[in-house]
Amino acid sequence: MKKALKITGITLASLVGVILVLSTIALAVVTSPKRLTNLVKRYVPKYVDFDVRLQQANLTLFKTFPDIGLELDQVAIMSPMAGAPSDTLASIDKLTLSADAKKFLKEKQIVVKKLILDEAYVNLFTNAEGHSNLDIFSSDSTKTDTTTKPFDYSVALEELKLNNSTVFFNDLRSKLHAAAIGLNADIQGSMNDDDIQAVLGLQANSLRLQTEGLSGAIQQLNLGFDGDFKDYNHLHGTLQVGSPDLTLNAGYEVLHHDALNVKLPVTLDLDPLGASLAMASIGLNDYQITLDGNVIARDTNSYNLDMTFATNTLDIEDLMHYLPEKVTKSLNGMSFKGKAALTDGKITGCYNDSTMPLITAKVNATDATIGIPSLPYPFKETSLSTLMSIDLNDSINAKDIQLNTKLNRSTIEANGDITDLTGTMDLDMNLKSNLYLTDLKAFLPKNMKLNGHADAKVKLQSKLDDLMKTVNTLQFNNKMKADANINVNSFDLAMDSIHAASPLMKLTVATPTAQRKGLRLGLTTTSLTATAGPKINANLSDLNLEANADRLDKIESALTNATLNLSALNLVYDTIRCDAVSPTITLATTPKNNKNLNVSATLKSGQLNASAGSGYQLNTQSIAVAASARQDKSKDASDFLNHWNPTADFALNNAQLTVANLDEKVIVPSIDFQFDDTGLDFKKGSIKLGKSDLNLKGKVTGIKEWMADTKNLMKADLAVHSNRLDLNEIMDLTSGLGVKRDSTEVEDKNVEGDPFMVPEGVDLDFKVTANKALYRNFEFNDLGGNATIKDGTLMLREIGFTNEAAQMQLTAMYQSPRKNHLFLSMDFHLLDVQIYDLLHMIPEIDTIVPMLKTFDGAAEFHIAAQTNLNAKYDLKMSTFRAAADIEGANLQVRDIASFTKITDMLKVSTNGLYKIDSLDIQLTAFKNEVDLWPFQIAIGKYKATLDGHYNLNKMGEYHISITQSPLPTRLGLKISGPLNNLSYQLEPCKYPNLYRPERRNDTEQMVMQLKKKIGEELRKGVREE
Amino acid sequence: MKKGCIVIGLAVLLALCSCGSEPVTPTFDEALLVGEWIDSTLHEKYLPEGIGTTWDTYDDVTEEEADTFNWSFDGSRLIQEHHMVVGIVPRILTVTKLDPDSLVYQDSGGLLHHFHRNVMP
Repeated sequence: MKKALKITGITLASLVGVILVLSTIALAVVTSPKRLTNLVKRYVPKYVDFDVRLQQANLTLFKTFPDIGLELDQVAIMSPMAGAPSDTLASIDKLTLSADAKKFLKEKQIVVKKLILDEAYVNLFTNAEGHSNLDIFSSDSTKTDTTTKPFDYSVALEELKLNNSTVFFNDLRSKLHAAAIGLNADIQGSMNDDDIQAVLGLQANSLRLQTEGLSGAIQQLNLGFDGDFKDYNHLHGTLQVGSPDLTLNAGYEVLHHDALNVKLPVTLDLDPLGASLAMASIGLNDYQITLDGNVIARDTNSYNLDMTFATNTLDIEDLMHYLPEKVTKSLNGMSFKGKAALTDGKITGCYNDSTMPLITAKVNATDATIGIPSLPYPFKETSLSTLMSIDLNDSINAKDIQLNTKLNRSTIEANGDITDLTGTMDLDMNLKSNLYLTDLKAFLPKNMKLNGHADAKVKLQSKLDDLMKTVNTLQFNNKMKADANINVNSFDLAMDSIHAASPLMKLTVATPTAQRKGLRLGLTTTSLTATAGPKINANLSDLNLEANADRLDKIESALTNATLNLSALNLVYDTIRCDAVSPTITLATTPKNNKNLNVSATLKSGQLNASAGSGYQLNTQSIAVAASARQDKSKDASDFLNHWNPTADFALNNAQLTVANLDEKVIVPSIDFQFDDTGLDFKKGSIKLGKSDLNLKGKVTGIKEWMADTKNLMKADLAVHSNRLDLNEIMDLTSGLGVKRDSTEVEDKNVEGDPFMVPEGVDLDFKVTANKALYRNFEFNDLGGNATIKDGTLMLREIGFTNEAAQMQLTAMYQSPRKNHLFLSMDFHLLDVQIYDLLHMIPEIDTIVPMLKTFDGAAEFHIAAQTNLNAKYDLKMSTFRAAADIEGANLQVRDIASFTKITDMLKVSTNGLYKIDSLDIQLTAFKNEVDLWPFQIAIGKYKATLDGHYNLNKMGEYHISITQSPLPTRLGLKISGPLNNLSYQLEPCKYPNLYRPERRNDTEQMVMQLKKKIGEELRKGVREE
Repeated sequence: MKKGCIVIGLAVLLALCSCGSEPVTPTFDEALLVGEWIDSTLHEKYLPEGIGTTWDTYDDVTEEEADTFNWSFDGSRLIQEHHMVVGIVPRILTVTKLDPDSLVYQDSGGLLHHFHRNVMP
């Protein structure tokens, strides 16, 4: 800049010198323009060493009166230079110079007072090496004056004018290109030894500027300065710059045909250096910024600033147009409307190479609207007030922020400070919101509907980076501090079939502190109801939830604990209902170093009532569940048990189970069992039903393997013990249980039942023992045996028991290969049983062996039966099979009338004794047909062989053959007809030799072999003591 | 009196003679028995080696679910020996007709069962 001024000064001085020479010549010769022109051309080289050309010189006396003037036409200063657009430095259509005539005439001194350039064309050029075509003037000062100069000259300009000129400036080194077209300038003033007073007026039709990354154009530029420069030290005046059309592009369109209006009343002192602005204004279109204050130099390149500034009201939407495109793009479509103003602006402090002054200003925005594309509603009625503090030595801060805005119907209020806006953005904010939850619709899944009204208060202290990191990762540490209290009224959430509602919920959220790790969540409500579809319903009363979590993004990596207290919990699932009084639920998770998670949970409840329809109801005084899980990520997540390795302890005390149609309640004094990776361990389990009790103990193993692959066996080794089993009571209580069949209902054969299907892939072994068992009028002792479920077979294996009447053993099997094809088998042995007791114990035997009731006494009874059943447990008669073996001796005859009738007809003398010495019966049933295989009875000296065939409809036919008698006759008797109304008819003896091996025919031999086989096969099932 | 004694004596002789007498029955070719026989919904299948199966579709029982039995045939006496889980149930049946198309036997209750051969594969 200094160099440019120097060159300009030298240029002007040179021009003036040239003009003076010309003037002198003109004056000297006072002659014609031609002569004057020749003189000028001859003398110019004496004063300058560059090529100056002119067409004609004229002397003026009157035009510049009272001064003497010289007019030069078509002046050209040549400065050829490689790369320059022209070899002409300046081309001036007319150059007029006036000098003080008095001094010229008296003192032969030329004092230039006025210089006028008309239609000058100036071409300034600097090449890439920094050489300028103005350099032709630079040697002027060092030029040795070797010629005789007719005059001295000096410059005392009072006016310098430039009319309709054009200036081009091209600097290849700085890549600066400028052009001023239609340039008019008028500088008037006075300068003496002490002061300069000047009025500057400059207009340009067009001023263009272009440099690297920046281009601009000003149309109709009007620049003026009116002031003085006293003592060459104190500058005082007013600078005004105006243009109706200003365009500036800095890679983006900064200004686009905007109007500029600048007024700078300035006072400048050079020593000491200082400046002040008094109500300066800079205006762009309708926007004004006013500046007031002063700048004082402390030393070289160091200044103290003390200024105030303010703006008028700004249109934010319009101002957005002046933002760089990069900034606009970064706003991602956000839109801003409204008014804003800066007031009470201050610039104070020192400015130097290392220090910047502090800038403060109040920012006030009113009635602003902020649109964010991702939100369904804009922030409306937004007002913002803050004190901006721009300390470029340190940070930019916004203090005393007061923000109010509306999001649809919701209002948001924010107060606080933001420190270091361009750096870490430390937030210290208090937020209040009156939030209608429907306004959150855009943030929720499409299938979620949220209603309600929330009053939220949030206190936030955090760096923006920590806040965003927390929001994005949902991991919490004490770098971000936030406390939130949210009261939600009329909360109502609907998502698909899920619905939750609460009249009032209070939610508290607190981020971790140095003393406390994890995010703390609190939720209290007097009532929370939730439904999932038509079947699931939950009511939670006086809910109090406290939870801590250090992260929410990955629960498997989270350190969490939660406690849920309720005064009452009511759960309904379909027909199942559960009501708990004062339940407490806790949950804790602990991530391990290897990223596996440990989870523990407990449930404690006081009174708990549960029901399943109207059929079952469970009431317990207390229930406790303690569960935990250890994650093992090396196992696939679908393999639940191996992935989580769950363990659980269940304890239930003083429970009562009520079953519909069951007059007695099932009392459960206590059940305590544990589940872990080895299986299910029933530590204690006791049940009382009426007079009966049951105690369960043992383990179920292989559960994990069975769930992973049902081909693996789940094994159970359980012991079920009862001190007393009242089977009569149990059977009475459970008879018809669950069956709701109208007696008038016509059975539909096609209606499928819902039978018990024996699980496969399990090996369950129940060791059943009972000290006493009551059945009908019989008391059984020492009942013991096994019940197993294995390979799809439920089996009661060799259940043995004793009573006064007999020693008994029962084996039964149940299979369910398919729903409508079940299989039932039983194998029952009664040793040394009294027949009378047997028939009382098992009256059904009378159906199969009706004749047995004729006798009484000790016998041994073995029976086996099997059949298939349909889904409703109805017998498939075509598959019914049964076999029985009865052996007795010294039996008393109970049906004396029938006995007497038979013996009389068969001429058997009983001598008044109604006794059978021995019998050995085998009978078989095939479908509904029963075969009583031929057997022999002994009555004193008589022996008889009997057989029979009857069906389960009680139609039968018997035959009695007298095979041994003191009499010679061997009579036979046929007894046939309905069993309750038999007819008796003599017939030939059918089995004279059956019990005489030596006389048996082949058929009789075969019959005896089969009889023997029937008996032997049945006895195979007897457990050896 | 003498006449009465004669009558009693004849009756005793008649009774003695009638006891133990076996009726004369026809004999049939055992090979004809092998195959599947049907009586309405009741199926009986006689396989070689003395093994047989029976099922009744009325009770929704399929052939795969049929009960097995051992059988033996001696001219006209057919013995089925049905094995239960524990115990056996033998049946002694008297065949009264057996030809390539039909089988008739009488069970111990005197009931006749009429089968026709199942010619379906």
